[in-house]
Amino acid sequence: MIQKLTARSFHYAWVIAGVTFLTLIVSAGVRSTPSVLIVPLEKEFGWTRADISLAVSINLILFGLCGPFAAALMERFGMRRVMLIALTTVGFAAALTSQMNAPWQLDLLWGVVVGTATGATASVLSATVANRWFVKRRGLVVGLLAASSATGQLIFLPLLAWLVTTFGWQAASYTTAGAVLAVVPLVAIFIRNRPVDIGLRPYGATDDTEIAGPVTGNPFANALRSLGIGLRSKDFWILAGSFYICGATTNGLIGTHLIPAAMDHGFAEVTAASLVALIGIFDIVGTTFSGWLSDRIDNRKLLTWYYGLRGLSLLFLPYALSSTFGGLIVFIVFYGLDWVATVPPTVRLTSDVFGKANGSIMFGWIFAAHQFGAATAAFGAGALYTWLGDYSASFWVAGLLSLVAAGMVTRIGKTGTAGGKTVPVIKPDNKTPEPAAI
Amino acid sequence: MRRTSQSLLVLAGVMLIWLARPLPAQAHGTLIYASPPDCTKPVPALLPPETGDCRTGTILEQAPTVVKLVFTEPVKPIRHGLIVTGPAGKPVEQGSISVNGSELSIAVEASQAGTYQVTWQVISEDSHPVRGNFNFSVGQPSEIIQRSAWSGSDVGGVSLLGLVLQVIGRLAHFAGYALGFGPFFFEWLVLAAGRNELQKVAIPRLKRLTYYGIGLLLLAEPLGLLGQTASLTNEQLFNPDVLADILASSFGQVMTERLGAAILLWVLLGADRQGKPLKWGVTGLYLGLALVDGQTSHAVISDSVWLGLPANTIHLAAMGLWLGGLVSLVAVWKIPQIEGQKGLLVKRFGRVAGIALAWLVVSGSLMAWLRLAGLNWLNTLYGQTLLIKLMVLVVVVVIAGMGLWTSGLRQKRSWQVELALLLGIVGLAGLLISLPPPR
Repeated sequence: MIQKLTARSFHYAWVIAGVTFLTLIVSAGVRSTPSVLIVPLEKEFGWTRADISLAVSINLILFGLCGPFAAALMERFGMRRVMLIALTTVGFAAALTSQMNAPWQLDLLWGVVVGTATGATASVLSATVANRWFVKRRGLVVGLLAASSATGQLIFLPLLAWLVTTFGWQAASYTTAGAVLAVVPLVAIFIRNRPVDIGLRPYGATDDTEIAGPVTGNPFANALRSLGIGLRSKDFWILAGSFYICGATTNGLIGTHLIPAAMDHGFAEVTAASLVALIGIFDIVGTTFSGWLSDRIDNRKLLTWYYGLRGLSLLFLPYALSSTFGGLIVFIVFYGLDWVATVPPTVRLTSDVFGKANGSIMFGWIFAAHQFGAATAAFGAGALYTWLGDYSASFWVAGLLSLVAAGMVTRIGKTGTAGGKTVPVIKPDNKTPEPAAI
Repeated sequence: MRRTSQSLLVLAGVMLIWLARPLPAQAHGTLIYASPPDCTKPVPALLPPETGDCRTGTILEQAPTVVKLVFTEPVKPIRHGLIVTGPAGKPVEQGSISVNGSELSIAVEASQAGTYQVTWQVISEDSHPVRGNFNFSVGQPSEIIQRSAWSGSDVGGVSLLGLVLQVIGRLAHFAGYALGFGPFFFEWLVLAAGRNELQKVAIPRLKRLTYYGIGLLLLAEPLGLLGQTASLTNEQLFNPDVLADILASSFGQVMTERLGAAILLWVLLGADRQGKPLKWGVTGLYLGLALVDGQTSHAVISDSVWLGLPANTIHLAAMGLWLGGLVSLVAVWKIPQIEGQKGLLVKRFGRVAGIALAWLVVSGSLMAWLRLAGLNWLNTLYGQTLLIKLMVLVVVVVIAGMGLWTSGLRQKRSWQVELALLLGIVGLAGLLISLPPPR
């Protein structure tokens, strides 16, 4: 079968990209499930919102922390094997959640198991696929895979919400588990570690293209050494700090808590989930446009605008929720447009400051900060809700933090140094392959 | 002769306008009606305090089933915002408080004969904390038993510590406002006339002032929050329930907007110093923050918000221009490159300060006109504070005027005195906003 496919006129790399796309989108679907389960679980078991948010936080942290190390796993055991193990684990964990009856089971299954397993594939997988299988169109592939992962977390929400309201919350667990397990055979059949394994060159490679071989040196040590360099640089702190806030104000707060917040204000669960899905749709537009802009405009200015507008729209959210439907639509358009629009400029600034070679691993760490932020916000908003009885304060804090991020990014590369050297004035760079995100 | 008649005409005109003004603002969440009524006071409840007690006051024949309070503006009860204590010292309220705009009510079981005490604490729509208590007797008077931790020795409806903290918070906010924005306008309106080498040295100093201003603006908010909790609960500054209710009130909203403005100023400070967008951004933020502050002053709740809010905004903006500009002038005074340009800068700053003073007087008179009626306000703490503030202003204007004619060390010293007095005025303004205005 593989022979048949490789013999065809299109390149086998696209099959790899397609299956990876499916893998990312189903694991994103699993990761988004808790936000439609918050209210049903509260009703069934009487758990507090802080209890449930804790599981989401564990998930987000492990998902991020796995990033820099997952690459090492793929080097050691091969991409295919890692994907198979991760997907099977996710599938069984999701199925098991339907049987839970205590908060620690949610923490263990959704937090630890699903977080680690999805983290082992998601953020590095797209970078690995793009680097090994593509020479041409690498940016497009990375963009597509990043969007599938980020948007995949949002667009299934209406379906999941419908399942929850029609068949009960267990239905969402079974469905996501089924979807994940259905992808496992596809991975087993179609995924190959490297083009050489089936006698091919990467897409767009010619005879003189240098094919990247296995990374030399211990990947774990490489990851930790990069972190050491980063921690001594002011720009790393700014990038990681602003990305921490980015994670807190997107995945952590809105991704997890907007649905229950809208339900508190009288929206039906499916309507609320559709609103969040709408954010995902605007996100595709915004992120694509942002990638285009980041080739043309000073990336620090772009980020300032993104964070500034995000902050203002979050400050506006409490009014939007308690006002008419129109107000909420205004929020969704403004907020949705820069859901992950911050990623392309941050990626670019990272590789501009730390160089192309270190950029990927450095971004892995910056992305870990993103997930820490997401975890803090997912838990923090739940805890604030339990204390204050509504989400206004959480949205306000998030809005203020976004404004802080807007101020931080204007100060990148001004007087700071990276790796002991003075940073040159940052210019847009069109050729750097982008590491994957989210 | 002609001049005298003209002056008389103007005076008569001013008096006519004064008499034709809209109704004075009813702000600050003042209690205007209570049912059952306070047994020491006739209805309406809010007349000059009397030293009566319930033995001589009204005694209800029939037990009320509901206690209802009406305020001058919408209010939010804080924690147990309305409690009623029976003659035996036990709570008699039943169910939860119902809030209907400016009306609070709660069901009570008051069949036992004796004196009941009603205690309330609220935050009004213009973000002022206010509390109070009163008594009513059913059948026959009895000894009053208090359930709340505080007695009736409040200043302006709040605890003294709360009032002090509120004033300090407001002083920090206003000073931060002037220090944060003033240097920008000083640079554009005054320093721009100076030579390039002076500007190059002066701008980093002005930038540092802005940083201090941002710091003060950020510091002012936690102080203000403590002021709110201390105003309502004497000891429990960090009571989580009270904090939660306050954060959910109009105060939490305004606090967020102010913090947002301070952070945005920091963002703008990182932007390109020469760009035109910076001027628009800073000016917009400057007026925007003044507008936000209007929501917490007494400007927002009156029959003439359309007049009160712009007047308040202009008043603040003019204050920032003057105070912030003066600090900037003192800050750049020692730069060596300033030699030979001192006269020019002083002249330009004098013009800015003069215009600011004119706006302050116009907007201040407008606000007083909207808020005060008759002469009895002179008897209130609010009125006396206002009078002192006006007197200090006169002194400042005299000193500032004299400063224009002196030079050298004496000039600088006169500025320092002016600065200190201006800060005093700002503190008095903070006190004015924290006190309920007279009706």
